[in-house]
Amino acid sequence: MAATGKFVSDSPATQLALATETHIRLFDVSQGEFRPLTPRLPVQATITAMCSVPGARSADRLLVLSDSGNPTLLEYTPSTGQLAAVAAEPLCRSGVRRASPQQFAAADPSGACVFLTAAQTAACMYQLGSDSSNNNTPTLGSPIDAPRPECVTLALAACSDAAYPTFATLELELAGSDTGNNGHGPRGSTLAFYTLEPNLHTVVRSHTRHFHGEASFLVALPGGVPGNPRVALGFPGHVVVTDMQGELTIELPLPGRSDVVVAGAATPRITLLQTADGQLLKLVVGAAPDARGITPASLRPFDMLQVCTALHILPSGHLAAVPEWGDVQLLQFESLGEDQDESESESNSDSSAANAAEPQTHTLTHLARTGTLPTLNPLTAARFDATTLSVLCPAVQPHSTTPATRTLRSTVPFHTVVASPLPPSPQRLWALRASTSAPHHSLLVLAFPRATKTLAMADDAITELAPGPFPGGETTLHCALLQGDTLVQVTPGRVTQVQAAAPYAAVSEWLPPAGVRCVCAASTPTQLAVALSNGTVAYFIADAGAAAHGALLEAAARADLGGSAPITALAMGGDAKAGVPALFLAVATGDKLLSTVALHPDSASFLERTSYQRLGDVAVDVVCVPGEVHCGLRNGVYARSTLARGPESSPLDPPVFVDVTNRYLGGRPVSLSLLPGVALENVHDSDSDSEEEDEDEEDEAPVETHPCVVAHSEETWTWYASGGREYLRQVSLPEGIGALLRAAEVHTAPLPANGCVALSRTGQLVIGRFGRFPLASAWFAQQDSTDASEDEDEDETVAFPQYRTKCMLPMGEHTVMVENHIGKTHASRFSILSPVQNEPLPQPQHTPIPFGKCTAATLVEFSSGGSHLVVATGGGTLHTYALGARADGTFAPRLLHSTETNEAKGQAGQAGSSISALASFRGMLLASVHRSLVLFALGKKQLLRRFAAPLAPSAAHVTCLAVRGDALVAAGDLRESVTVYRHSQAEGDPTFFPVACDSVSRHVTALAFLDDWTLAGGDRAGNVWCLRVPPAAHAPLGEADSPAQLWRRREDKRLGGNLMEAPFRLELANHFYLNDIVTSLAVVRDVQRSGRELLVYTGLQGSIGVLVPVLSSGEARLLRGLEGAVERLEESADAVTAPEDVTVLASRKVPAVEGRYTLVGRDHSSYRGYYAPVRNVIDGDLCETFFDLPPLEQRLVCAAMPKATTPEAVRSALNLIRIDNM
Amino acid sequence: MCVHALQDMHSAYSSLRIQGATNHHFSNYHTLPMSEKQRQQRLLQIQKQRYLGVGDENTTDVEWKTNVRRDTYNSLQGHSATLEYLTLANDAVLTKQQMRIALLRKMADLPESKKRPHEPEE
Repeated sequence: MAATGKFVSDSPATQLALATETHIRLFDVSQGEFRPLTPRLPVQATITAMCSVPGARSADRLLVLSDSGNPTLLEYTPSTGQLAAVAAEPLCRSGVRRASPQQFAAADPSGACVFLTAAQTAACMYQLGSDSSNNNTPTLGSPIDAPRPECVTLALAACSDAAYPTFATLELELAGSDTGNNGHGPRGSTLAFYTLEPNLHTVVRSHTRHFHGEASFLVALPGGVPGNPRVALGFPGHVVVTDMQGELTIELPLPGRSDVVVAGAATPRITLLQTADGQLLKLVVGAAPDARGITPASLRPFDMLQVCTALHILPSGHLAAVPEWGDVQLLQFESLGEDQDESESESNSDSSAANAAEPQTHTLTHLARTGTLPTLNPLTAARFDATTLSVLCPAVQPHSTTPATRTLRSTVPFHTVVASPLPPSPQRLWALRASTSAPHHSLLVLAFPRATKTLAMADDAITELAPGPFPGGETTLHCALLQGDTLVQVTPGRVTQVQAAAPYAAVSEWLPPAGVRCVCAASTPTQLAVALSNGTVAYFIADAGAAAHGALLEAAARADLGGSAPITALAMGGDAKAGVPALFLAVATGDKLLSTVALHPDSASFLERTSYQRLGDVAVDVVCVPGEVHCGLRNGVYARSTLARGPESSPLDPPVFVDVTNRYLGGRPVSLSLLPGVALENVHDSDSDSEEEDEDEEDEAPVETHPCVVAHSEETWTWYASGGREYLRQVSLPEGIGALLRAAEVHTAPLPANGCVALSRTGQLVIGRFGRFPLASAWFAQQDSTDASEDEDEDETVAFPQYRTKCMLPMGEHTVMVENHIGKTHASRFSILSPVQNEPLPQPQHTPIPFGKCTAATLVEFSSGGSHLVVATGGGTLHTYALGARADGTFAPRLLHSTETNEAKGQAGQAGSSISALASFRGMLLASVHRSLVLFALGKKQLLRRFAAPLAPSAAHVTCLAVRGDALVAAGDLRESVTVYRHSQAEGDPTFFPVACDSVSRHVTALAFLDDWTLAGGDRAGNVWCLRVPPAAHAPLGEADSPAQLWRRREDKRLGGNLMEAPFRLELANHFYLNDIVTSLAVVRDVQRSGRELLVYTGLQGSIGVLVPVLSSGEARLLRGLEGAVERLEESADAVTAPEDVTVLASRKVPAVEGRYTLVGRDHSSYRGYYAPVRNVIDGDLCETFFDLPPLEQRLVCAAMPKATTPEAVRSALNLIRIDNM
Repeated sequence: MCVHALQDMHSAYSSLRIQGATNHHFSNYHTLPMSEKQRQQRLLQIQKQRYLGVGDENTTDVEWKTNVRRDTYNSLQGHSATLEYLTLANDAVLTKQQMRIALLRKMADLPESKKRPHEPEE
C-alpha cells in the first residue's frame, strides 16, 4: 500500500508512505530518490487499508485501517523521526472481517471526512475535526452509517469537484439479494455515489447506475464540471468515463493486448491507467463538450511498466510505481506524451523486436527511472549460509530479465582502496595527525620486531619518511599525538617526545629504571601511562604551560599492581572521541586479572587499584569504550566488562566492574583495535565514490558517529552500539586479505568517513573503509548479482521477467536455481550459480527443461553415480539430469532420462497426480507419488523403483518432505498437517510405517527437522509451529523397529489400532503467527561461531526471520515478563500517579489515544495468536521495541515485570541474545 | 479453506457468551420463563445483525455454507500473503488485482437459497 502527501509540516516537499501488511515507512521522494524519513515501523497488526488525509492548516496525516478495528490517524513527528497516533476510534471488532468497514478507505480532497467500506455491505463516514482544548489535535467524529443494499465493494474513490464530500464506489450486488440475480450468467456492476450532508449529519446514496459489463476498476477524474464529479470505470476491453449526474458517458476501447485495467492515477494534468500487461495508458477527457456537443476523449498508449498495485503522480513531476512483484520505482516524467503518434511507434518497436506476444524489455519513452527501492517480494526460494547468516534469494529487478539473485549479508563490508605488501612480521600500526587541529591523518607509524617505519600520507600518495620523527632501529610499543602538537613514542627502552612538525625537535625523553623495560602503554592527548616490566605503571601528564611545549611530567608515584604477574595490556578509560582526560586506567595482568586504577590527582585512591575482575584467560589487548572495558583474551574469547558507578561513590573515583560477558571468536588470541568514531548509517556501499558524491557529502550535515572495536582472531569482527543495542558482527573482507591483525582509524581526503588502515594477516598494509553496519532496523545489506551501475541504460529499460524461481538447491558452494515460466507456457529451466558472484555460470547459462513446469526438484547424491538433479513436472514425470562437474569448476548438465511414475498416470485427473515433494534419502530419491512414498534408485534408462509404502489414509497431497538421517521421514500435507514415518527393514521387507500424525489440519508449506523427534514448519495461513513426537515413540534410530512394537508402546489405547492412522499424535510445542507464508525453513548451525542453532525462515512477501532457542528458564522468564510488560505498557502508563511522571507524560503533547505505543492499538497476543493461541514463543520484535521507548516508559515496563528489574538488565539480556546467537 | 473462516465464527460465538446468552442458558431453553425466552431471542437477533455467521434453528445448510464460503473468500483476498500465494499458484491469473477481483466476484456470486419457511417473529 502507498499514500502520498505532505506529511512533514512546514515543508513543501511531498512524501511517500509505503506500507506492507505489518510495517510502515515514510520516504521523502521530492528529489527523485527514496530518502527514508522514518525507520521501518512495526505495526504489530495487519494493515488492511491506508490513505492520506489532507490537512487544512497542518501537515497531512495517514489514515490506517487494520485488523485492530480502530481507524487510526498517524502523524509524522520530525523530532523523533517516528509516526505517532493522534486519533483512533474503535469502530469494529478485531480481525479481518467481511462486514467491518476496513477494506477500503478514501479521504475527501478537502480533508473534511473519510469514507470507509467493508468488503460486504457495511460502510461509514467519519467527519474530521480538531480538539481546540487539546492543542488542536485532530479527532475522528462519530461514524455515520451509509445506507447500502447487500453488495460487495470492488473499488472506492474520493471525488473532487463536488459541492459536498462525495465518494464513488463500484459495487456488485449479492446473489440472492433483492436486486441481484441468482448467480447465473454474467453479472453487472453498480456505480454509486455517497455524499455527506454535513448539516443533516447523514450520508446519502444517490445517482446509482447499473452497468452490464463486469467492471473491476474505478478512479475519480479531476477537472469535471463543479458539482458533477467524473469517474472512469475499467471494463473488460474498454473504459467508461461518466459523471455523477449521468450527463456524460464515453466508452473508450483499450488499445493493446490486455483488456483489464488494474491500476491508475489521476491528477489535473495527467491521468494514467495501467492494464494487466503493464501498459500505461493516458486518458484525456475534455473539460466541456465541443461545438457538436461531444466531449472529446482519448485513451492512448503512454509507456510500459511492471504491473503495479498503486500509482501515484507527485507534484514534483515524478511517478511512484509500487509493483505487485519486485522493486518499488520512482520515475520522472520526461514528457506528457503530446506527440502520440511518435510515442506509439517507439513503444511498439522493442516489443515487436523481441516477441510480439510477450515483450521482455521496453525502453521508457516518457518516463525515466530516478530511484529504486529494493524489495524481496515474492520470495519464493532462498538459500542460507550458516557461516555469516547470509541469504541468497532471487531478485525481481525492474531493468533485468536475467535470473538475478540478491545476496543479503549481515556482516560489515570492508572495501579496500589500497593494499600493498610490507616487510616481514609487521606488528602494530598507528595513524597520526600532524597537529591536534588537522582534519586528516598524515603519518603512519609501523612497528616491526626490530624496527619502526614512518610513512607520510599526502593526497593519494604514501611515502616513507627518512629521517622520520623517531629512531628506526627499535620497535615501537605505543605512539600518539599529544596536546601541544607533540608526538610520543614508547619503545622498550625509552619514552621519546618530539615536535610533530619537521625537523621533529626533541621535547623530552624518559628512561625506565635500570633493569626494567617498558612493556605496553596507553595515552590520551594529555596523559600517558607506561607499564613497566616490574609490574608498575608510570604515569605522565602533558605540561600545560606555554613554555613547556606540552612536555611530559611524570607523577611522583607509580601505580604498583603488585604480584609477580606482568602487565599485559593497558587502556585509558574515557571517551576517546570526547578528548577529556581519562578518569581511570584499565590494566590487564598476567594473573588473568583486569583492574582499574584511579587517575584523577584529587582522588583519594590516585594511582591505586580501585576494582578488579577475574577473566577467563590472560588479556592480550584492552580497549575502553564508554561504560565498558573490552578485553581480547589469549584463548580466543572476547570479554566485555561492564562498569557502573555506585550511588555513594565519589565522582573522582573510577566506576567499578559489575558484569562481564564472554563471546568465543576463534582459536587464536584476540587482539583489539579501537576506532573512536565510525558512521554506522548513511554510508555508501559502492566501492568507488565519484568526486561529485564526495562534494555532496561535504555539504551534508555531520553524521552521528559511534565508537567501534575491531577484534582480530581467526576472523575479523566489529563491536558497535547504537541506540542501546550492541552488535558483534563479522567483517567481510575482500579476497586475498584473509583477516586483519591491527587496525586504526584514518581520515583523509579520499576517505572522509569510516576510513581504516590495517595490517592484514597476509602481511599487507590495507587502506580501505567500512561500509554499512548491520543494525536492528536494517539487518541485511543487499547486493545484486548484476550490478545496476554497470548498465548505463538501466534507467531507460523496463524488464518483464519471463521466469520465476521455483527453488534454490545448495550444491556445495554452488547453487542450483530452478525457474518456471510465468504464465501459461509450460516450460522451465535451471541454472547453476557460481559461489562468489551468485551469477549463472556462463556455459551453458540456462538449461531448459522442455517438459513442462517444475513442480518439485531436488539434488540427489545417488550411491551409484554422483550428484544428480531430479525435476518433477506436471503429470508426475521425473527427469534426471547429470550435472557433469568439470575440473575447472564449470558444469555440463545433460538429461539422463525421464521416468513416468505409473501410479500417477493411472490416477490422472485426481488431485494427487502431480509430484510436489522430492527428497534425497539413503542415497536414493524419495518421492511422494500419488498416495505413497516411493524410493527410486538411479538406473541407466530410468529411475528404478525400489519400494513403495502407502501414505496415511487421510493424506491429500504431500507438499513437502523432510528427512532425518536414514530412518525418519516427515511428510507435510496440503491440508492434513504432518505425518512422521519411519523406515523399517524388519523381516527383510523395507517399508515406511507411520509413527505419529497430527490432530489438527495444517496447510503445510515448509518443513524441517529440528532434532530426531521435533519438527518445525510453516503453513499457508502464515503460522510457524513446532511439533514433537511423544516420548513414548522415541526409539534409537539405529535399531530395527517394527510397527507392531510401536503400536504396543502407545499409551492412549482408547481407540482401536484400526481406527488410528498412526500410533501416536504429534504434540504442539510452539505456535506463532508470522503474518507471512513460510516458503523455506532451515536449521543453521554455528552462525558466526555462536555454537548455537537457529531456525531461519523466509516469507513469501519478503520477510526473513530467525527463531532463536531460549536455553535457560531464567532467560525465558525474563523475556516472557518483558513481552507481557511491553504489551501492557498502555495500562501502565494510564496508571501512573507519581506527579513528576504525570508531568513528563503530559509534556510530550501526544494525546492519550488508544494504541499510542502500538500505532493502531491491536492487542498483541490476539494478533500473534490469530489462528491459534501463541504457544511457547516470545515475540522478539516486540521485546526489541524496549530500546526505542523513552526512559520513563522503560522504567514502567521494568516495574510491571513479574520480577522487578532495571532497564540496564533488560538491555543487557536482549543484547546478549543478539550477540550470542547471531 | 475453512480455516480462514474459523476465526470469524469463533469470534461470533465468543461474543454470544460475552453478551450473556451463554450455552448454559441455551441448554435449559425449554424450562425458561417466556419473558426470558423473548429476551434471548432479541439478543440472538441483535447478534445475527452484527455478526453474519450467527445462525438459528431456521438456518439452512446452504445459508450456513454460503456464509462460511464468503468469509473464506474475504479472508483469502483480505490477507495479502494468501492473495499472493493464490496468484502465484494460478497460471491463468497474472496479477494480484485480477485475483482479488475474482475472489470478490466469487464472494458475491454464491447463490443463497431461500430460507426455510418458519413462523413469523413478533
